[in-house]
Amino acid sequence: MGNFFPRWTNLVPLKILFAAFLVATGLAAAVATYWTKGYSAVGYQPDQPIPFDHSLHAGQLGMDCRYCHSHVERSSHANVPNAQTCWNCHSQIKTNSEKLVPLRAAMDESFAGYTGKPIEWVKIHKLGDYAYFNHSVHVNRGVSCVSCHGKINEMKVVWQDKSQTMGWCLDCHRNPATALRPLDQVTNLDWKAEETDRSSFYAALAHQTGLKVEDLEKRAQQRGFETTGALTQKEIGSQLKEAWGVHPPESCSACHR
Amino acid sequence: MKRKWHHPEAGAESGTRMYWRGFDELQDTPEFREWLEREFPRGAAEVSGPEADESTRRNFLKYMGASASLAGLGLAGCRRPDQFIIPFNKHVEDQIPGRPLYYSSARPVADGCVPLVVTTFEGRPTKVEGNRLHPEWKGGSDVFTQASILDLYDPDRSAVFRKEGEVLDGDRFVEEFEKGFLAPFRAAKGAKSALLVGASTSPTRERLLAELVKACPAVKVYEYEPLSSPGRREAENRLWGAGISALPVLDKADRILSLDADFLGLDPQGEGSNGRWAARRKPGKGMARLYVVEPAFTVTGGMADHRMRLASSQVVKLAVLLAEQLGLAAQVAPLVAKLGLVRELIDPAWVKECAADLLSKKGRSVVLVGSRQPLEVHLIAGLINQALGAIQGAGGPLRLVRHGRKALPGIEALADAIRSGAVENVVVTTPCDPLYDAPASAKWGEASAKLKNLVHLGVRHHATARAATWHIPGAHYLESWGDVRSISGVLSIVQPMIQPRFGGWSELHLLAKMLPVAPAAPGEAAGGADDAAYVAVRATFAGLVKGDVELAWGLALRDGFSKGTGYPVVAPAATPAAIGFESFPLVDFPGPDAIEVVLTPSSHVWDGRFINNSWLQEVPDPISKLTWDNAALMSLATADALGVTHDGQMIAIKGGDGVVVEVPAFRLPGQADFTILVELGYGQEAAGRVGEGTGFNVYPLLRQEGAFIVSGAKAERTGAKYALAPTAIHWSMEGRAIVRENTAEAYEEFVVNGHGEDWKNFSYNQGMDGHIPPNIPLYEGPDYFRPNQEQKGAPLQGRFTVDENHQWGMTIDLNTCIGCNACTIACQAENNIPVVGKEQVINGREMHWIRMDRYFSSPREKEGMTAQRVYVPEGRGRPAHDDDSVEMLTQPVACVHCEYAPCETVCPVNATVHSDDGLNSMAYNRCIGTRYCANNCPYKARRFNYFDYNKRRTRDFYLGPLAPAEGLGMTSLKLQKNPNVTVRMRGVIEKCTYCVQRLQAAKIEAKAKARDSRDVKVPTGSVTTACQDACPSQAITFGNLRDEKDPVVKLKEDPRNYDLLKYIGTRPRTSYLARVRNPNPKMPGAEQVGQGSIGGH
Repeated sequence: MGNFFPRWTNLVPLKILFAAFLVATGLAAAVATYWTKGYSAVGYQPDQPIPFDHSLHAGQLGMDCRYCHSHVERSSHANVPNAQTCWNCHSQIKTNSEKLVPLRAAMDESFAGYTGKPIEWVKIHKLGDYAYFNHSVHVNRGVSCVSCHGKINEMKVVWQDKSQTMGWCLDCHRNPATALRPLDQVTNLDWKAEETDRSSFYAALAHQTGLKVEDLEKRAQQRGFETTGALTQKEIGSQLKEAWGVHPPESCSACHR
Repeated sequence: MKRKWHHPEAGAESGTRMYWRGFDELQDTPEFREWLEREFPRGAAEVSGPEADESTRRNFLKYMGASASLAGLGLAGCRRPDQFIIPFNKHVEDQIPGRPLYYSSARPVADGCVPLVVTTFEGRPTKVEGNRLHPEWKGGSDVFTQASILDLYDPDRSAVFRKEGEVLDGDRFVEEFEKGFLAPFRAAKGAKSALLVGASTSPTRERLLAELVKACPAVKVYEYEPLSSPGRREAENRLWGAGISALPVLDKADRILSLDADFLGLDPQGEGSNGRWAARRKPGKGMARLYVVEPAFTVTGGMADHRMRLASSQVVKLAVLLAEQLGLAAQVAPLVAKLGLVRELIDPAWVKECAADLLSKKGRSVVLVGSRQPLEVHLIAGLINQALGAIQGAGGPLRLVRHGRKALPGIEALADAIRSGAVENVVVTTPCDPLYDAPASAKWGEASAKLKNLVHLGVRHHATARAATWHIPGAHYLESWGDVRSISGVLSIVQPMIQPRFGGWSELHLLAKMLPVAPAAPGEAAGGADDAAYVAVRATFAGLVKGDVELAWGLALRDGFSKGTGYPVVAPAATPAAIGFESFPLVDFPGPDAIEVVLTPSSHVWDGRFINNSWLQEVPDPISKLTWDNAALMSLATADALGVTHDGQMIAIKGGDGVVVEVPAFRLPGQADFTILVELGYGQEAAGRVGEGTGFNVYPLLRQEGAFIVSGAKAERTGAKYALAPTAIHWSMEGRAIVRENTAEAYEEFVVNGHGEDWKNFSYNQGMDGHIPPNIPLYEGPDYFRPNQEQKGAPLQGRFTVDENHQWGMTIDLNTCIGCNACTIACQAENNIPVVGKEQVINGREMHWIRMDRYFSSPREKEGMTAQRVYVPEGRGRPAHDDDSVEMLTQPVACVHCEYAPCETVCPVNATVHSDDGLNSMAYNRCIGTRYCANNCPYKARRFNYFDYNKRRTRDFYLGPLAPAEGLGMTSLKLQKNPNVTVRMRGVIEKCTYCVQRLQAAKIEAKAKARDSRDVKVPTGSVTTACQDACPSQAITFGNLRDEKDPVVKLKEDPRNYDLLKYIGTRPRTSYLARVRNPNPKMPGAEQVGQGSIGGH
């Protein structure tokens, strides 16, 4: 009997150790990179050419989202407004503001720095090129802006509020009741399910579906909701999902084409 | 339970016909087995090629290492780059970012137009589709129209103004052109000047030319298109009178005889003819019958019920014999006298029975003649048509319309005028390239060199453009205002979708500039009022319509045509007494010493104008399946006589006046012996990067205008070889009962007469499918294919989420599919499918999602074949086929969306999965490129991106990862891409998606509209696939299987419906409707027609 293990095996444990060290380091680095909020770009808050203040316009002044993002109900894109939209007011208001120079450069022919070049806004929410999101189908079926963009009406400078990863999308597509709200509240970012009046909600739903309020309430009870006290998002959502026949797609081809 | 199917041995000796796609397959050569047995051909998986040395795997790893370390060192990887959203300053009317805008327009062609609806995204046109509202066309388009959009983005198109070859910027050119040419032209009232225009039906062009001639009376106008038909023009003149055309209306025809007329393919006659013809090919009572006489297979010949192969030059003899049978012997007497003994060489029984059949449907039968046929054949056919009662005002299968256009003199007359010194300045606006394609008799090269000023306006910078004194980049039809009449006269407005990309001018713009005074503006300052073409078109329009012009204009733009503008239908004039056949020489049958060469339009490049269009170059020819080249097509007997043993062997063809051209040989069945067919348009020197070095120029064989049939040519092998890239045996399905056909008689027996109690006996259970046990489902779920009554309305249940409202399905009707490739190109345009180049096609890597299979079928039985008719390849001892009774079928195959898809079960990363609406979908971003799915796909429908086809030019494929990825020009092509479809990268599989972007858009539209209601079902018929839209004969039907009203549901219950490879249990969503041929039982050989797949397995 000679040596059972050949000579070259002497170094094998060392090699294994070294390899394991490399793998562990790699894993640690990967976790540190990919398992952080930073990777999904939450909090991305770039400087814009004009420091447009959503908290002032949408918050204090109470402008509807759709005044500027005018095609959100018709198109896949929620368009960033044309300079003309800003100019509608700002040709009169705050005309001399330093902050509005890019706007005047684009629109005001009497302005010394006039170039006529459109404003280049920095994109905040970036979706992979292989994913196709459609705004119109969401806002027309009771998903509020706030569900994906957060409380824009309180942001001075907009940041990305949600991770907008595929898992995050699917969470909602699998449980749409967590996001549905009456259609007239879609652009009301301050809407709270708990503050909604129970009787008027049910009355409106009964009117729309042609069902009796009792039947609707029975439906809620069957699902384990108490039909007294304050409404909850879950109760509203599940009622609306049922009433509108909401079945969000979960197939790959819904978003990847 | 593990299921393993043993496919039956293909081609067992039963059934009456064999189906095959190439001689290699028929003879089962080792090369063919090689193609067959590998999922991808040998070498396809290895990185090898012309520059293989620098791109071995080892090098690849090295590059990878280098790029990885660069990525680590560079800072770019740490922070994601900012992207910008740049909205317009002011809103653009109707423009909603993210939504397509559709405009009506039309693509002008020589004698009419193809009415279109153009899709634009944010101002860039991406796709054209037939206009379904058009009263004569009713939708559909053709392969050239589908591909024409790529020309708009061709990076090699003419982009700069040039004076004597020197590039000038636009303003300077205008100044110098005015000074150097226009001012002297006007001052001299057009003396010694001429225009050479292309064929067009634009009323504005006609008006501007008339105005120009009025203002400058000395100017002469000539017209030139290489693919004109002087024979037909002259015959119409003599038979019906000047300015009158005969227009086939094929939905009124019960019997059609085509004399060398590829009216469904490259020799279109009438308008919407494919659709009209298809409407009469529904099996059952009233199915039309098609006789075709032709020298080589065309798509029309493939659809024939009875086909005779006959050399083009001999068609006149058949026409004479036919006229004789129809009682017109007196009129054709001078030719009858010359026939002599020849008549026996054309099967008399064929002619007799065909004539009898035509006559039996008097008033409902029509004879069509090919454009390349000489005057005499057109005249005889005219007489026959009159004798058959085909012409009866608006009701008959042939309609005479008065277009009233004056025939213009041709290029030969112009060349003569130049040589005589009468013309010194020529303005060339014809869309072709006279220096390259003019007939030899014109001696155009020599003539045009004498010119003082040669002004050329055109989209391409081809030979003529390079020789021009003044070259003006032309505007594509999608960039300019214009108008055009369809063949029957219906007026359409050509709308610009985009500003001319390189500031090019349209023909109308140039003509308007040549006029001394600008034509009167219609008084409104609409956008584009400064555009001379727009002003001119509006002015013409105002003169053409009655009543409210503004309203009519708006309607014309909206609908894509203007109502009531068709040409008037006229009654036939009396037949002229003397037709004058006396002088027509009859040519002997071609033989080994007197080969006949037929020059045909190309299915790729037409007359040469699409030479730089990569989509057209790469789409396999409908018959030969060749890509990227033309070849000398010949029968096996001809090949034997010339000593051609392999495709691609070069032969030298010696034509008239001793001209010699060299072309590679390619053998095809069903072709008249000693006839060689070659496509025109290839071998251009000034072609652009795509067309450079493709094919061989055979225009030198064209000695005179319209002389496409070259008799008495010699041909011999040169000894050289050339690599052709045919795709005929790529992606083969091994001869299983894929393509099925039967006869109208059998159909009536089963369906109409009620004898067929079990519908499955018709085509559903042909082949192995008749023997399969009931399917043992691996998954649960209803059978959408043939839902029984209780399943139809019932909610869908299964283990998976299922869309209650939508389950998509498709049927493809082999009875009307002619194999024209329009769907393949439409799919390419819609789905951002790349081209791969000739080399990669040879490697079997073409990317077309729709593979257009072309099958030949030939009788299996050996008795009844005479020795001459059977070709026995040397040394193989097995009769290959009978050239006289060979038939052709085509079958488009894309992913059939199996409900139990074999590809899905083998994907290790779930990149291909089923969707809730029944699609077999691909998530490209998940795909890691194992290609297991392609390996497991029984339909061979999956394509793999071996290279970054979308990022690199073909010649850069093999460069390493560090090489600059984006070649010049790729940016321009990007503008064509559909923004709703992912552009795939290297290393992923792709395949037909049923145009999922359109399905999703329709579903989203329905949901957004539904708001708080439950009504989210997509309305019936509101969603179409790109292939369906493009199909000129409506062979493709797509729809929702959950919608009772959807036409696709009805078609799925048609007796002709069958699934591909049903016996393997994949339950495909795309099914096929079997071909039904309608043979005349009295014709010779009728018992063979359409008998092919019956009982075969």
